[in-house]
Amino acid sequence: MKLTQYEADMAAGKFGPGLQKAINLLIRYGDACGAEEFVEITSGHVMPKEPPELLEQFIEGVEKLPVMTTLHPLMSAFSPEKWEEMGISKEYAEVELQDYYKRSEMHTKLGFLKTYSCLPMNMGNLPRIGDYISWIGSCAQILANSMLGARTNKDGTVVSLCAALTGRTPKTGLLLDENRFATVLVTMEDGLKLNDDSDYGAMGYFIGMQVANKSIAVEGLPRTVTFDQLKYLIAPAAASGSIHVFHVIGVTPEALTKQAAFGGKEPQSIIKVSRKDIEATKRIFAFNKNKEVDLLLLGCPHITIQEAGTISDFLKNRKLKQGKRLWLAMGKPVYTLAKTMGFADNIEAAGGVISDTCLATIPDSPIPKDVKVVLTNSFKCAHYVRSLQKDQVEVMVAGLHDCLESITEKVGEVQ
Amino acid sequence: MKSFKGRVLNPGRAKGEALVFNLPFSFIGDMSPKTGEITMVGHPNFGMSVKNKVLVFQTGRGGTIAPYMLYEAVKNNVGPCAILCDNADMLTLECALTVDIPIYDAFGEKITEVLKNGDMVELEPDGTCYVR
Repeated sequence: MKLTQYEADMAAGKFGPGLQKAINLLIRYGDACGAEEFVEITSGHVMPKEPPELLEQFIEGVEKLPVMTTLHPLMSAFSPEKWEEMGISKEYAEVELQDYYKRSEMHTKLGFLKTYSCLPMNMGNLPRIGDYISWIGSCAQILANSMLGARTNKDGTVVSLCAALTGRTPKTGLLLDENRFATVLVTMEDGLKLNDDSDYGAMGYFIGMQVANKSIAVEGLPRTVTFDQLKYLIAPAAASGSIHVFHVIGVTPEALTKQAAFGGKEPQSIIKVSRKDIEATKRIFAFNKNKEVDLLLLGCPHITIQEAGTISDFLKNRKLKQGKRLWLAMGKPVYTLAKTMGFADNIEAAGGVISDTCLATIPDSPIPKDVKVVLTNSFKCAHYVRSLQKDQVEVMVAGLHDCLESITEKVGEVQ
Repeated sequence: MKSFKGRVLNPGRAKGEALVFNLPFSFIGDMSPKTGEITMVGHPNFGMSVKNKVLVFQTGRGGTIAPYMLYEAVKNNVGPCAILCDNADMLTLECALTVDIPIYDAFGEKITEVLKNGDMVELEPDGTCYVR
């Protein structure tokens, strides 16, 4: 790696032991990747689950972060505010709380923004097309690369932390033009219409299963496709597979034309998605209306304010059925707005518990023992809950409407 | 005594028994950071410890929080002393750098097929591994 004077000074310890440790780790990482130089990042997003003593080492001598940096959810159902209400065990919570407070103090001191969300762009951390960034979270990464055209590698927790501290990341992988072009074209069968979040999710999950370690471009979606629809389409493709950039032709910024998406080349292969493929994918987490659902998970990726409004509307004059649980996840700024709008009050009055946790990784913390059947509107969530829970709970996916209907009843209605 | 030479991703010296996996491995899910025990149900190495072992696997299996899991294992004195891969992925490299243990890959032949559980392996900083 060729270093600038500033980077060399950092590596020599001129700015303290924390930055010295961080930049030297990035130098060894960059060397092993074959990177020749660093780039300056414009945005950071890190996982607030650092072992406290490791975080202490990395921040020693650091006064302020060089770029806007947001925090990811805690990567489990553990919420410092809501764990008791959610039925998380006390033994688990007590251990987690100790580390949480230690880290939290350091985060405040350095100015890590406590958004606790997997959608940094929705929290005001909004890099532009062509920006170099270093973000944690498979969903945040694929959405930044695809929807924003900002460039992040699939960095892990330590590389993204070192990048946020130093403002540098090695110029390699998905930061380079040639690694971002689509090589696979995904078309939609004539007349295929995606009706709800579960249709978008099934299509994304299906595409992820078909393609490994490549960038793809989808053709056939209208320019009016919404943020939420794209979120449900793109996020599961990083769970069922390892897609790099998920371009949508005519929609996402690096794919305004088909030619741009493919860098002027022809697609190496073409996948056509049909209604049959979508229905077959839904059968992986088949929804059975007659099955008693114990826990409904909404907010993977995190709920946006638009969704919070939709859920709130549906829950007017409805409440959770006896003995059921409804967990919803959204970042703190969205919760504040949902509170202002009355959405949060409606949802909570109906029995929902809103937190800023990660619903895909809930089995990391012990989920309540009475939970045997989990329902969600998210394929990404279903994928991780099933695999992390090693098949000990049954996981089903349905559209938002079916999800809410199956677990709530009209107020005054007798079951 | 045989020797193999791999690509040096993080140089170092280490000596330990090989613990070999003929599949992708992850420090989240496949190993307990508290005890260092292998938690892959049904795998022949299930229940074995990675403590002070030279961990040998094909490549990483993802899980972006993996570096923190390996850090916890090392802090608890149950971590491996080195990692050898057929083809290391970026995240496994990041894990090794976090705890600063040597990691080598690309040996020309599949190191997961060459080494067997219990082989005593000695790593030199130039990428050479002696096996006895």
